[in-house]
Amino acid sequence: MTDVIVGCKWVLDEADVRVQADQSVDFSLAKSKISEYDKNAIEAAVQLAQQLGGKAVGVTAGPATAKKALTEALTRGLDEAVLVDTGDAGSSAQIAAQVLAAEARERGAELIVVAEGSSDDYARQTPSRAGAILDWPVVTAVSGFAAAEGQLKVSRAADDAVQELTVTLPAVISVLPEACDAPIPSLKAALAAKKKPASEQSGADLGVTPVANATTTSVTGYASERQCVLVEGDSMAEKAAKLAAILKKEGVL
Amino acid sequence: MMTKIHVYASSPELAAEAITAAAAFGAQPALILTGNQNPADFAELGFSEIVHLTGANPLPECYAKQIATALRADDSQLFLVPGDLTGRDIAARVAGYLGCPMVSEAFDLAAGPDAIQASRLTYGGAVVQRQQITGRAVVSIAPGAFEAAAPSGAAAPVKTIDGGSDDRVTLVATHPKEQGAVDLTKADKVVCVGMGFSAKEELDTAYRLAKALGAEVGCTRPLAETNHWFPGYIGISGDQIAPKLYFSLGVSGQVQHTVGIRGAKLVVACSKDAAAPIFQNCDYGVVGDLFELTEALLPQLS
Repeated sequence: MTDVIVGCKWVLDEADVRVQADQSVDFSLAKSKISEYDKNAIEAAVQLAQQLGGKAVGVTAGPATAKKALTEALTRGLDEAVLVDTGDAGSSAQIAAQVLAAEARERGAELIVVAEGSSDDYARQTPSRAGAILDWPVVTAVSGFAAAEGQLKVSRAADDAVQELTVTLPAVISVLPEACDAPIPSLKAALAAKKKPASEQSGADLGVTPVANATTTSVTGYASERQCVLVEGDSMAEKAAKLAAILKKEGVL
Repeated sequence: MMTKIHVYASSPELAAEAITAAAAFGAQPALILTGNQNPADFAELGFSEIVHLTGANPLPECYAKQIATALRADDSQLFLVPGDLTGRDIAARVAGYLGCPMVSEAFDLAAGPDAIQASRLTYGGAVVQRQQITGRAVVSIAPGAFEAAAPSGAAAPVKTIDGGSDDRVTLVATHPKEQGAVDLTKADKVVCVGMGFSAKEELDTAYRLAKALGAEVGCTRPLAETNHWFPGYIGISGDQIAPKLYFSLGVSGQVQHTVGIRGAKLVVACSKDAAAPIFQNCDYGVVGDLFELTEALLPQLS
């Protein structure tokens, strides 16, 4: 039986982040949620677990408050969910990769599925790091997938082409949102979720090492350096004429 | 102390950007190439040497473990990689094998005392995060964030190492992105369409403007993912472009989209909605009906 592990990140909603006039950032209004793209990854993991004849297990790394992620994750068809409490170490890619790798080893899982990036950080490191820790093959930017005997057949959205690849299991893949839709959980699935196991483990017990030599020194709002000039005029014809003159002057015609 | 820097790049153009990024450390980096990349294509870009990990596998990502081994052997302090898809993947794997921190898609780099300082965007592009790393680090740089350095003229010596072969991933086939699909990241000028268009037939307006400007046509995420009018889109989870001209029609300008056009030299936007965020992120904006503007503008452009 091949367990499939899928990363579920508990993040602040990027839509609620407020940049003030002095460029300071106000996170106080931000609600927490499962990262948007993780919903697609969870569905991919559920489908692959079915194809491989195993369980789909959601794993969240973060402080104790992130346990809410498990509740939502379980409504999306997972068999089980685990919170790995990393306390102050948080859920950056370097931590998340350790957590996923440790869970995969502990459970004898053969596949780790992660979203291509998280909606807060979008660092796109976690899958490749997890694969390196385990010395497993990795395929990122997966846009289509199917399980076969001891391997996966995947489509990958490379820079200037679509690649068709086979990857032997055990492996790590990261999926783009277009790899599969994330259906809205049915009422039946939401009720069934309450009966599924949701557990907690300590990151320290799993051997997760906090990152000592990287710190965030500041967080500020992105200030656009654009000119923000509105082209005015009494008629559209006048605006168009002014715009054409601007385009000529800027040398883009 | 001079920081020892190694670079991986999938193309000479991207390698030249890494040379500029490395200048922040006053160091001449070494270049690592894999598989069937040709050292001759990179010879005169200004690297101190080229280390070619040879092997039959055409997938650069499959050499990451060997790259990490070479970096350790050379006591490399910084692995700098332009962040196209391949570069990002290799950089993160090497960071995993080395167990060191990594900054993703830095647009700004500075050398601190015994530390590397880098800036990147988070929360969909709304927030600038500055990070500091002491000791060995991996940094991927945002494509287009650093100017491509001019060739140095001096040919770098080439060292060849057997890269081994990780055959757990096999390339079965490659298909071009889609019939006639355009690589927007290489387009000089781009007209971008957004939700201001309610029917596919209306896109004709955008194509006519694009033709008059000599531009390609791109779109925001909903027009690709929901409407399926385009195979790809411009935005944080899609293409990041840095054209000479970006001209948007009916685009509201959510941060997840505008982070994809940060490198554009000139941004022009037209939207009916005066409160659209795009007007805080453009050089020139026209509030009004995009169809009216296009009809009025076309005769001015010929």
